[in-house]
Amino acid sequence: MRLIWEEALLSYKALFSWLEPRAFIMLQVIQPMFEFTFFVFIALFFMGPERAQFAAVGNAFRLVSVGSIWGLISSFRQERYSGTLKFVIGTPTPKLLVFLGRSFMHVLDSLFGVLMGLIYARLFFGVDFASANWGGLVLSIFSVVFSMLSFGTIFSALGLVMRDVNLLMNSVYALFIVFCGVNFPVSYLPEFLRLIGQVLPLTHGLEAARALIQGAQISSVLAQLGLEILIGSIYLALGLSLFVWMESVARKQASLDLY
Amino acid sequence: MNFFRILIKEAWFQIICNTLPRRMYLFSLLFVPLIYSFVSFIMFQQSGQASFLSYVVLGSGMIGMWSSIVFSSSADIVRERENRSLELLMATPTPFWLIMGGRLCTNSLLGLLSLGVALLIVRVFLGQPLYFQSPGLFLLALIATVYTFASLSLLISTLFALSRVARVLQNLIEFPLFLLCGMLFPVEILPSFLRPLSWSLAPTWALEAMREAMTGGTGEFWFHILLTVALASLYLWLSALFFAKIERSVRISGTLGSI
Repeated sequence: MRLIWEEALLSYKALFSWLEPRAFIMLQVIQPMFEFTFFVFIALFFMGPERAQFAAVGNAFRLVSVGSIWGLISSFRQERYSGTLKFVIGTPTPKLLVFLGRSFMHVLDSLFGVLMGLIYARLFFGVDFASANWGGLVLSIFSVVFSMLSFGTIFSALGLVMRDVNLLMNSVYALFIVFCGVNFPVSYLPEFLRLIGQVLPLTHGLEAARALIQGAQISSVLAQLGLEILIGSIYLALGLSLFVWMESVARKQASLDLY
Repeated sequence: MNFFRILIKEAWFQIICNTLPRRMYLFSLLFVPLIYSFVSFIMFQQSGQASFLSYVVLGSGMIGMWSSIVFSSSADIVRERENRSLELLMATPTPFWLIMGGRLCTNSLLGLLSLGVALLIVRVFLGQPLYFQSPGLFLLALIATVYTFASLSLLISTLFALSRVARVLQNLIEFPLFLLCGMLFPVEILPSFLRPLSWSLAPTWALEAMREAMTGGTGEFWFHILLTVALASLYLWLSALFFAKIERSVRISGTLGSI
Protein backbone atom coordinates (compact mmCIF):
# COMPACT_ATOMS: atom_id res chain seq x y z
CA MET A 1 0.00 0.00 0.00
CA ARG A 2 2.89 2.31 0.83
CA LEU A 3 4.39 1.64 -2.59
CA ILE A 4 1.11 2.36 -4.32
CA TRP A 5 0.59 5.59 -2.41
CA GLU A 6 4.14 6.82 -3.04
CA GLU A 7 3.84 6.01 -6.74
CA ALA A 8 0.51 7.79 -6.91
CA LEU A 9 1.78 10.96 -5.35
CA LEU A 10 5.22 11.15 -6.93
CA SER A 11 4.19 10.30 -10.47
CA TYR A 12 1.35 12.79 -10.39
CA LYS A 13 3.59 15.54 -9.07
CA ALA A 14 6.20 14.65 -11.66
CA LEU A 15 3.65 14.71 -14.44
CA PHE A 16 2.97 18.36 -13.79
CA SER A 17 6.12 19.55 -12.04
CA TRP A 18 8.09 19.54 -15.27
CA LEU A 19 5.61 22.14 -16.32
CA GLU A 20 4.89 25.35 -14.51
CA PRO A 21 1.93 25.16 -12.06
CA ARG A 22 0.02 27.35 -14.52
CA ALA A 23 0.30 24.53 -17.01
CA PHE A 24 -1.79 22.30 -14.76
CA ILE A 25 -4.64 24.82 -14.84
CA MET A 26 -4.24 25.32 -18.59
CA LEU A 27 -4.34 21.60 -19.32
CA GLN A 28 -6.88 20.47 -16.77
CA VAL A 29 -9.27 23.40 -16.67
CA ILE A 30 -8.96 25.93 -19.49
CA GLN A 31 -8.22 23.67 -22.45
CA PRO A 32 -11.06 21.21 -21.67
CA MET A 33 -13.42 24.17 -21.21
CA PHE A 34 -12.67 25.48 -24.72
CA GLU A 35 -12.96 22.02 -26.24
CA PHE A 36 -16.25 21.44 -24.43
CA THR A 37 -17.66 24.81 -25.52
CA PHE A 38 -16.61 24.32 -29.13
CA PHE A 39 -18.48 21.04 -29.48
CA VAL A 40 -21.58 22.36 -27.75
CA PHE A 41 -21.69 25.33 -30.14
CA ILE A 42 -21.43 22.99 -33.14
CA ALA A 43 -24.41 21.06 -31.80
CA LEU A 44 -26.27 24.30 -31.10
CA PHE A 45 -25.75 25.56 -34.65
CA PHE A 46 -26.63 22.39 -36.49
CA MET A 47 -29.22 20.81 -34.20
CA GLY A 48 -30.68 23.51 -31.95
CA PRO A 49 -30.69 24.27 -28.20
CA GLU A 50 -32.08 20.94 -27.04
CA ARG A 51 -29.35 18.97 -28.75
CA ALA A 52 -26.80 21.50 -27.47
CA GLN A 53 -27.72 20.43 -23.93
CA PHE A 54 -27.44 16.82 -25.05
CA ALA A 55 -23.90 17.57 -26.28
CA ALA A 56 -23.09 19.50 -23.09
CA VAL A 57 -23.78 16.43 -20.92
CA GLY A 58 -21.96 14.20 -23.43
CA ASN A 59 -18.88 16.37 -23.45
CA ALA A 60 -18.91 16.68 -19.66
CA PHE A 61 -18.56 12.91 -19.48
CA ARG A 62 -16.02 12.84 -22.29
CA LEU A 63 -13.75 15.01 -20.14
CA VAL A 64 -13.12 11.83 -18.15
CA SER A 65 -10.85 10.82 -21.01
CA VAL A 66 -8.44 13.66 -20.19
CA GLY A 67 -7.61 12.13 -16.82
CA SER A 68 -7.99 8.51 -17.74
CA ILE A 69 -6.43 8.24 -21.18
CA TRP A 70 -4.07 11.24 -21.31
CA GLY A 71 -3.00 10.90 -17.69
CA LEU A 72 -2.30 7.19 -17.81
CA ILE A 73 -0.43 7.28 -21.10
CA SER A 74 1.53 10.40 -20.17
CA SER A 75 2.78 9.01 -16.88
CA PHE A 76 4.95 6.48 -18.77
CA ARG A 77 5.62 8.61 -21.83
CA GLN A 78 7.36 11.19 -19.71
CA GLU A 79 9.59 8.52 -18.16
CA ARG A 80 10.62 7.54 -21.67
CA TYR A 81 11.42 11.13 -22.69
CA SER A 82 13.45 11.60 -19.52
CA GLY A 83 15.32 8.34 -20.12
CA THR A 84 14.11 6.86 -16.82
CA LEU A 85 11.61 4.29 -18.10
CA LYS A 86 14.24 1.55 -18.14
CA PHE A 87 14.95 2.18 -14.45
CA VAL A 88 11.25 2.00 -13.57
CA ILE A 89 10.93 -1.28 -15.46
CA GLY A 90 14.24 -2.54 -14.08
CA THR A 91 13.33 -2.13 -10.39
CA PRO A 92 12.34 -5.25 -8.44
CA THR A 93 8.96 -3.68 -7.52
CA PRO A 94 6.15 -5.47 -9.37
CA LYS A 95 5.20 -3.29 -12.31
CA LEU A 96 1.50 -3.83 -11.71
CA LEU A 97 1.89 -2.14 -8.33
CA VAL A 98 3.71 0.74 -9.99
CA PHE A 99 0.95 0.99 -12.53
CA LEU A 100 -1.88 0.79 -9.99
CA GLY A 101 -0.19 3.50 -7.97
CA ARG A 102 0.06 5.73 -10.98
CA SER A 103 -3.58 5.16 -11.85
CA PHE A 104 -4.86 6.30 -8.49
CA MET A 105 -4.50 10.04 -8.96
CA HIS A 106 -6.04 9.78 -12.40
CA VAL A 107 -9.23 8.46 -10.82
CA LEU A 108 -9.45 11.73 -8.94
CA ASP A 109 -8.48 13.64 -12.06
CA SER A 110 -11.21 11.96 -14.08
CA LEU A 111 -13.80 12.68 -11.40
CA PHE A 112 -12.66 16.29 -11.37
CA GLY A 113 -13.05 16.39 -15.16
CA VAL A 114 -16.62 15.17 -15.25
CA LEU A 115 -17.70 17.35 -12.30
CA MET A 116 -16.19 20.40 -13.94
CA GLY A 117 -17.96 19.51 -17.18
CA LEU A 118 -21.34 19.14 -15.48
CA ILE A 119 -20.87 22.50 -13.76
CA TYR A 120 -20.11 24.13 -17.16
CA ALA A 121 -23.16 22.41 -18.59
CA ARG A 122 -25.34 23.82 -15.82
CA LEU A 123 -23.88 27.34 -15.73
CA PHE A 124 -23.35 28.07 -19.41
CA PHE A 125 -25.76 25.84 -21.28
CA GLY A 126 -28.67 25.65 -18.87
CA VAL A 127 -28.73 21.88 -18.39
CA ASP A 128 -31.44 21.28 -15.82
CA PHE A 129 -30.53 19.08 -12.85
CA ALA A 130 -33.68 19.92 -10.85
CA SER A 131 -35.19 16.48 -11.19
CA ALA A 132 -31.91 14.57 -11.36
CA ASN A 133 -31.55 11.28 -9.56
CA TRP A 134 -28.31 12.22 -7.78
CA GLY A 135 -27.53 8.81 -6.35
CA GLY A 136 -27.89 7.23 -9.76
CA LEU A 137 -25.92 10.01 -11.43
CA VAL A 138 -23.00 9.50 -9.04
CA LEU A 139 -23.14 5.77 -9.79
CA SER A 140 -23.08 6.45 -13.53
CA ILE A 141 -20.11 8.81 -13.11
CA PHE A 142 -18.16 6.13 -11.24
CA SER A 143 -19.07 3.51 -13.80
CA VAL A 144 -17.79 5.70 -16.66
CA VAL A 145 -14.61 6.64 -14.77
CA PHE A 146 -13.99 2.95 -14.09
CA SER A 147 -14.53 1.85 -17.69
CA MET A 148 -12.50 4.73 -19.17
CA LEU A 149 -9.57 4.11 -16.83
CA SER A 150 -9.74 0.41 -17.68
CA PHE A 151 -9.64 1.33 -21.35
CA GLY A 152 -6.73 3.68 -20.65
CA THR A 153 -4.84 0.73 -19.12
CA ILE A 154 -4.65 -0.91 -22.55
CA PHE A 155 -3.09 2.16 -24.14
CA SER A 156 -0.77 2.74 -21.25
CA ALA A 157 0.51 -0.83 -21.76
CA LEU A 158 0.89 -0.28 -25.49
CA GLY A 159 2.82 2.88 -24.68
CA LEU A 160 5.59 0.67 -23.29
CA VAL A 161 6.40 -0.61 -26.78
CA MET A 162 4.98 2.10 -29.03
CA ARG A 163 6.96 5.25 -29.61
CA ASP A 164 4.16 7.39 -30.99
CA VAL A 165 1.84 7.43 -28.00
CA ASN A 166 0.54 10.89 -28.91
CA LEU A 167 -0.92 9.44 -32.05
CA LEU A 168 -2.48 6.63 -30.05
CA MET A 169 -3.98 9.07 -27.57
CA ASN A 170 -5.49 11.33 -30.19
CA SER A 171 -6.93 8.39 -32.11
CA VAL A 172 -8.65 7.19 -28.94
CA TYR A 173 -10.12 10.65 -28.35
CA ALA A 174 -11.51 10.55 -31.88
CA LEU A 175 -13.29 7.26 -31.13
CA PHE A 176 -15.16 8.89 -28.25
CA ILE A 177 -16.10 11.96 -30.28
CA VAL A 178 -17.56 9.92 -33.12
CA PHE A 179 -18.98 6.67 -31.77
CA CYS A 180 -20.09 7.09 -28.15
CA GLY A 181 -23.12 9.35 -28.49
CA VAL A 182 -21.26 12.33 -27.04
CA ASN A 183 -22.39 15.00 -29.49
CA PHE A 184 -25.42 13.32 -31.04
CA PRO A 185 -27.42 10.16 -30.34
CA VAL A 186 -25.74 6.96 -31.52
CA SER A 187 -28.87 6.31 -33.61
CA TYR A 188 -27.77 9.11 -36.00
CA LEU A 189 -24.81 6.98 -37.08
CA PRO A 190 -25.10 4.54 -39.97
CA GLU A 191 -26.18 1.15 -38.61
CA PHE A 192 -22.87 -0.65 -39.14
CA LEU A 193 -21.00 2.03 -37.18
CA ARG A 194 -23.33 1.90 -34.17
CA LEU A 195 -21.77 -1.41 -33.13
CA ILE A 196 -18.43 0.28 -32.46
CA GLY A 197 -20.00 2.51 -29.83
CA GLN A 198 -21.62 -0.48 -28.17
CA VAL A 199 -18.25 -2.00 -27.27
CA LEU A 200 -16.53 1.22 -26.27
CA PRO A 201 -16.54 2.63 -22.74
CA LEU A 202 -18.69 5.72 -22.14
CA THR A 203 -21.61 4.91 -24.50
CA HIS A 204 -23.81 2.99 -22.03
CA GLY A 205 -22.83 4.95 -18.93
CA LEU A 206 -23.55 8.20 -20.72
CA GLU A 207 -26.94 6.97 -21.87
CA ALA A 208 -27.78 6.05 -18.29
CA ALA A 209 -26.49 9.40 -16.99
CA ARG A 210 -28.71 11.35 -19.39
CA ALA A 211 -31.77 9.42 -18.24
CA LEU A 212 -30.79 9.91 -14.58
CA ILE A 213 -30.40 13.67 -15.06
CA GLN A 214 -33.99 13.68 -16.27
CA GLY A 215 -35.05 11.87 -13.11
CA ALA A 216 -35.11 8.21 -14.17
CA GLN A 217 -35.00 5.55 -11.46
CA ILE A 218 -31.80 3.53 -11.11
CA SER A 219 -33.77 0.36 -11.82
CA SER A 220 -34.62 1.62 -15.31
CA VAL A 221 -30.96 2.12 -16.26
CA LEU A 222 -29.47 -0.88 -14.51
CA ALA A 223 -28.87 -2.63 -17.82
CA GLN A 224 -26.80 0.30 -19.19
CA LEU A 225 -24.84 0.70 -15.95
CA GLY A 226 -24.22 -3.04 -15.82
CA LEU A 227 -22.98 -3.02 -19.42
CA GLU A 228 -20.67 -0.08 -18.73
CA ILE A 229 -19.14 -1.88 -15.75
CA LEU A 230 -18.92 -5.17 -17.66
CA ILE A 231 -17.17 -3.48 -20.60
CA GLY A 232 -14.83 -1.74 -18.14
CA SER A 233 -14.03 -5.05 -16.41
CA ILE A 234 -13.20 -6.71 -19.72
CA TYR A 235 -10.90 -3.84 -20.69
CA LEU A 236 -9.27 -3.91 -17.26
CA ALA A 237 -8.52 -7.64 -17.54
CA LEU A 238 -7.21 -7.11 -21.06
CA GLY A 239 -5.18 -4.06 -20.07
CA LEU A 240 -3.50 -5.65 -17.06
CA SER A 241 -2.62 -8.80 -19.04
CA LEU A 242 -1.33 -6.65 -21.85
CA PHE A 243 0.73 -4.65 -19.38
CA VAL A 244 2.55 -7.77 -18.15
CA TRP A 245 3.03 -8.96 -21.74
CA MET A 246 4.22 -5.60 -23.08
CA GLU A 247 6.69 -5.30 -20.22
CA SER A 248 8.31 -8.55 -21.32
CA VAL A 249 8.18 -7.54 -25.01
CA ALA A 250 9.82 -4.20 -24.18
CA ARG A 251 12.59 -5.98 -22.25
CA LYS A 252 13.20 -8.43 -25.10
CA GLN A 253 13.20 -5.75 -27.80
CA ALA A 254 15.20 -3.33 -25.65
CA SER A 255 12.85 -0.72 -27.06
CA LEU A 256 12.04 1.13 -23.84
CA ASP A 257 14.18 4.16 -24.55
CA LEU A 258 13.27 4.59 -28.18
CA TYR A 259 11.29 7.67 -29.05
CA MET B 1 17.82 36.49 -53.90
CA ASN B 2 19.37 35.25 -50.66
CA PHE B 3 16.00 35.78 -48.98
CA PHE B 4 14.22 33.39 -51.34
CA ARG B 5 17.08 30.87 -51.25
CA ILE B 6 16.75 30.66 -47.46
CA LEU B 7 12.97 30.44 -47.65
CA ILE B 8 13.15 27.57 -50.13
CA LYS B 9 15.84 25.74 -48.15
CA GLU B 10 13.82 26.03 -44.95
CA ALA B 11 10.68 24.91 -46.77
CA TRP B 12 12.48 21.85 -48.11
CA PHE B 13 13.93 21.07 -44.67
CA GLN B 14 10.45 21.39 -43.21
CA ILE B 15 8.94 18.94 -45.69
CA ILE B 16 11.72 16.36 -45.44
CA CYS B 17 12.46 16.48 -41.71
CA ASN B 18 9.68 18.07 -39.70
CA THR B 19 6.36 17.31 -41.30
CA LEU B 20 5.75 14.43 -43.66
CA PRO B 21 7.90 11.84 -41.83
CA ARG B 22 6.02 12.54 -38.57
CA ARG B 23 2.95 10.42 -38.03
CA MET B 24 1.37 12.80 -35.54
CA TYR B 25 1.66 15.60 -38.08
CA LEU B 26 0.01 13.46 -40.73
CA PHE B 27 -2.71 12.61 -38.22
CA SER B 28 -3.45 16.32 -37.73
CA LEU B 29 -3.24 17.03 -41.43
CA LEU B 30 -5.31 14.17 -42.80
CA PHE B 31 -7.20 12.39 -40.03
CA VAL B 32 -8.44 15.42 -38.07
CA PRO B 33 -10.44 16.87 -41.03
CA LEU B 34 -11.86 13.41 -41.63
CA ILE B 35 -13.17 13.19 -38.06
CA TYR B 36 -14.60 16.69 -38.06
CA SER B 37 -16.19 16.43 -41.47
CA PHE B 38 -17.86 13.18 -40.45
CA VAL B 39 -19.08 14.40 -37.04
CA SER B 40 -20.26 17.76 -38.34
CA PHE B 41 -21.91 16.12 -41.35
CA ILE B 42 -23.95 13.85 -39.07
CA MET B 43 -25.11 16.94 -37.19
CA PHE B 44 -25.62 18.89 -40.42
CA GLN B 45 -28.11 16.24 -41.58
CA GLN B 46 -30.33 17.21 -38.64
CA SER B 47 -30.28 20.89 -39.56
CA GLY B 48 -32.33 20.61 -42.74
CA GLN B 49 -30.38 23.58 -44.15
CA ALA B 50 -28.53 22.70 -47.37
CA SER B 51 -26.49 25.92 -47.21
CA PHE B 52 -24.85 24.78 -43.97
CA LEU B 53 -22.79 22.28 -45.97
CA SER B 54 -20.21 25.01 -46.58
CA TYR B 55 -19.61 25.10 -42.81
CA VAL B 56 -18.97 21.36 -42.79
CA VAL B 57 -16.49 21.40 -45.66
CA LEU B 58 -14.61 24.63 -45.01
CA GLY B 59 -14.73 24.31 -41.21
CA SER B 60 -13.38 20.75 -41.16
CA GLY B 61 -10.67 21.66 -43.65
CA MET B 62 -9.61 24.72 -41.69
CA ILE B 63 -9.61 22.79 -38.42
CA GLY B 64 -7.20 20.24 -39.90
CA MET B 65 -5.11 23.03 -41.36
CA TRP B 66 -4.82 24.95 -38.09
CA SER B 67 -4.31 21.78 -36.06
CA SER B 68 -1.38 20.66 -38.23
CA ILE B 69 0.15 24.15 -38.29
CA VAL B 70 0.00 24.57 -34.52
CA PHE B 71 1.25 21.05 -33.92
CA SER B 72 4.20 21.48 -36.26
CA SER B 73 5.07 25.01 -35.12
CA SER B 74 5.26 24.07 -31.46
CA ALA B 75 6.85 20.66 -32.02
CA ASP B 76 9.58 22.19 -34.22
CA ILE B 77 10.62 24.65 -31.55
CA VAL B 78 10.41 22.07 -28.76
CA ARG B 79 12.57 19.72 -30.83
CA GLU B 80 15.14 22.40 -31.58
CA ARG B 81 15.24 23.28 -27.89
CA GLU B 82 15.60 19.66 -26.75
CA ASN B 83 18.29 19.02 -29.38
CA ARG B 84 20.14 22.10 -28.15
CA SER B 85 20.01 23.65 -31.61
CA LEU B 86 17.62 26.52 -30.86
CA GLU B 87 20.47 28.72 -29.60
CA LEU B 88 22.50 27.90 -32.72
CA LEU B 89 19.61 28.85 -34.99
CA MET B 90 19.20 32.11 -33.16
CA ALA B 91 22.93 32.81 -33.36
CA THR B 92 23.24 32.33 -37.14
CA PRO B 93 23.47 35.50 -39.26
CA THR B 94 20.15 34.60 -40.89
CA PRO B 95 17.30 36.30 -39.02
CA PHE B 96 15.39 33.83 -36.85
CA TRP B 97 12.05 35.09 -38.14
CA LEU B 98 13.12 34.20 -41.67
CA ILE B 99 13.99 30.65 -40.66
CA MET B 100 10.66 30.26 -38.86
CA GLY B 101 8.84 32.08 -41.66
CA GLY B 102 10.09 29.60 -44.25
CA ARG B 103 8.95 26.69 -42.13
CA LEU B 104 5.58 28.18 -41.28
CA CYS B 105 4.79 29.10 -44.89
CA THR B 106 5.41 25.45 -45.72
CA ASN B 107 3.14 24.34 -42.88
CA SER B 108 0.40 26.63 -44.15
CA LEU B 109 0.73 25.43 -47.74
CA LEU B 110 0.76 21.78 -46.67
CA GLY B 111 -2.27 22.57 -44.53
CA LEU B 112 -4.28 22.97 -47.72
CA LEU B 113 -4.22 19.18 -47.94
CA SER B 114 -6.65 19.18 -45.00
CA LEU B 115 -9.13 21.15 -47.04
CA GLY B 116 -8.63 18.64 -49.85
CA VAL B 117 -9.42 15.79 -47.45
CA ALA B 118 -12.59 17.52 -46.23
CA LEU B 119 -13.74 18.16 -49.81
CA LEU B 120 -13.03 14.56 -50.75
CA ILE B 121 -14.88 13.13 -47.76
CA VAL B 122 -17.97 15.25 -48.28
CA ARG B 123 -18.08 14.88 -52.06
CA VAL B 124 -16.98 11.27 -52.58
CA PHE B 125 -17.70 9.37 -49.36
CA LEU B 126 -20.74 11.28 -48.12
CA GLY B 127 -22.04 11.84 -51.65
CA GLN B 128 -22.91 15.52 -51.26
CA PRO B 129 -22.93 17.87 -54.26
CA LEU B 130 -20.47 20.73 -53.88
CA TYR B 131 -20.77 23.93 -55.88
CA PHE B 132 -18.43 26.88 -55.99
CA GLN B 133 -20.31 29.98 -57.09
CA SER B 134 -17.08 31.85 -57.81
CA PRO B 135 -14.10 29.49 -58.21
CA GLY B 136 -11.75 32.41 -58.99
CA LEU B 137 -12.71 34.29 -55.84
CA PHE B 138 -12.48 31.08 -53.84
CA LEU B 139 -8.89 30.64 -55.02
CA LEU B 140 -8.12 34.20 -54.00
CA ALA B 141 -9.67 33.61 -50.57
CA LEU B 142 -7.61 30.46 -50.27
CA ILE B 143 -4.39 32.38 -50.93
CA ALA B 144 -5.43 34.96 -48.33
CA THR B 145 -6.10 32.09 -45.90
CA VAL B 146 -2.62 30.64 -46.37
CA TYR B 147 -1.13 34.10 -45.81
CA THR B 148 -3.30 34.51 -42.70
CA PHE B 149 -2.34 31.19 -41.15
CA ALA B 150 1.35 31.70 -41.94
CA SER B 151 1.42 35.14 -40.30
CA LEU B 152 -0.72 34.13 -37.31
CA SER B 153 1.44 31.07 -36.67
CA LEU B 154 4.57 33.22 -36.96
CA LEU B 155 3.14 35.51 -34.29
CA ILE B 156 2.26 32.57 -32.07
CA SER B 157 5.68 30.98 -32.61
CA THR B 158 7.19 33.93 -30.71
CA LEU B 159 5.33 32.55 -27.69
CA PHE B 160 6.58 29.04 -28.41
CA ALA B 161 10.15 30.33 -28.71
CA LEU B 162 9.98 31.99 -25.31
CA SER B 163 8.00 29.38 -23.41
CA ARG B 164 9.31 26.19 -21.91
CA VAL B 165 5.82 24.74 -22.05
CA ALA B 166 5.27 25.08 -25.78
CA ARG B 167 3.53 21.71 -25.99
CA VAL B 168 0.96 22.85 -23.44
CA LEU B 169 0.45 26.11 -25.28
CA GLN B 170 -0.07 24.12 -28.47
CA ASN B 171 -3.03 22.34 -26.87
CA LEU B 172 -4.32 25.55 -25.42
CA ILE B 173 -4.20 27.50 -28.67
CA GLU B 174 -6.03 24.99 -30.86
CA PHE B 175 -9.60 25.07 -29.58
CA PRO B 176 -9.95 28.76 -28.75
CA LEU B 177 -9.20 29.53 -32.38
CA PHE B 178 -11.69 26.90 -33.60
CA LEU B 179 -14.27 28.44 -31.32
CA LEU B 180 -13.60 32.15 -31.80
CA CYS B 181 -13.19 31.98 -35.58
CA GLY B 182 -16.46 30.11 -35.93
CA MET B 183 -14.84 27.29 -37.85
CA LEU B 184 -18.01 25.19 -37.84
CA PHE B 185 -20.65 27.79 -37.07
CA PRO B 186 -21.19 31.51 -37.62
CA VAL B 187 -19.57 33.71 -34.97
CA GLU B 188 -22.94 35.43 -34.50
CA ILE B 189 -24.08 32.54 -32.28
CA LEU B 190 -21.24 33.17 -29.83
CA PRO B 191 -22.01 35.31 -26.76
CA SER B 192 -21.69 39.00 -27.66
CA PHE B 193 -18.71 39.57 -25.33
CA LEU B 194 -16.65 37.08 -27.35
CA ARG B 195 -17.38 38.60 -30.73
CA PRO B 196 -14.77 41.41 -30.61
CA LEU B 197 -12.17 38.67 -30.10
CA SER B 198 -13.53 36.84 -33.14
CA TRP B 199 -13.36 40.01 -35.21
CA SER B 200 -9.72 40.55 -34.27
CA LEU B 201 -8.76 37.18 -35.69
CA ALA B 202 -7.94 37.14 -39.40
CA PRO B 203 -9.07 33.51 -39.95
CA THR B 204 -12.63 34.59 -39.04
CA TRP B 205 -12.68 36.88 -42.08
CA ALA B 206 -10.79 34.44 -44.28
CA LEU B 207 -13.46 31.82 -43.58
CA GLU B 208 -16.21 34.34 -44.26
CA ALA B 209 -14.59 35.20 -47.60
CA MET B 210 -14.31 31.53 -48.55
CA ARG B 211 -17.94 30.89 -47.64
CA GLU B 212 -18.95 33.94 -49.69
CA ALA B 213 -17.03 32.65 -52.70
CA MET B 214 -18.51 29.19 -52.27
CA THR B 215 -22.17 30.06 -51.71
CA GLY B 216 -22.60 33.45 -53.35
CA GLY B 217 -23.27 35.08 -49.97
CA THR B 218 -24.06 38.66 -49.16
CA GLY B 219 -21.69 40.48 -51.48
CA GLU B 220 -19.14 41.42 -48.83
CA PHE B 221 -16.35 39.28 -50.26
CA TRP B 222 -13.91 42.12 -50.93
CA PHE B 223 -14.52 43.67 -47.51
CA HIS B 224 -13.74 40.31 -45.87
CA ILE B 225 -10.61 39.85 -47.99
CA LEU B 226 -9.43 43.33 -47.09
CA LEU B 227 -9.90 42.65 -43.38
CA THR B 228 -8.13 39.29 -43.72
CA VAL B 229 -5.09 40.76 -45.44
CA ALA B 230 -4.94 43.82 -43.17
CA LEU B 231 -5.07 41.76 -39.97
CA ALA B 232 -2.61 39.18 -41.30
CA SER B 233 -0.19 41.96 -42.22
CA LEU B 234 -0.55 43.38 -38.72
CA TYR B 235 0.35 39.95 -37.28
CA LEU B 236 3.40 39.86 -39.55
CA TRP B 237 4.57 43.28 -38.40
CA LEU B 238 4.01 42.33 -34.74
CA SER B 239 5.94 39.08 -35.28
CA ALA B 240 8.94 40.95 -36.66
CA LEU B 241 8.79 43.30 -33.67
CA PHE B 242 8.49 40.48 -31.12
CA PHE B 243 11.20 38.39 -32.73
CA ALA B 244 13.62 41.32 -32.54
CA LYS B 245 12.74 41.87 -28.87
CA ILE B 246 13.01 38.18 -28.04
CA GLU B 247 16.36 37.87 -29.78
CA ARG B 248 17.77 40.73 -27.74
CA SER B 249 16.20 39.56 -24.49
CA VAL B 250 17.39 35.93 -24.72
CA ARG B 251 20.89 36.98 -25.74
CA ILE B 252 21.10 39.02 -22.53
CA SER B 253 19.48 36.46 -20.23
CA GLY B 254 20.92 33.34 -21.92
CA THR B 255 17.73 31.39 -21.21
CA LEU B 256 16.69 30.36 -24.71
CA GLY B 257 17.75 26.75 -24.34
CA SER B 258 16.27 26.21 -20.86
CA ILE B 259 14.09 23.14 -20.78
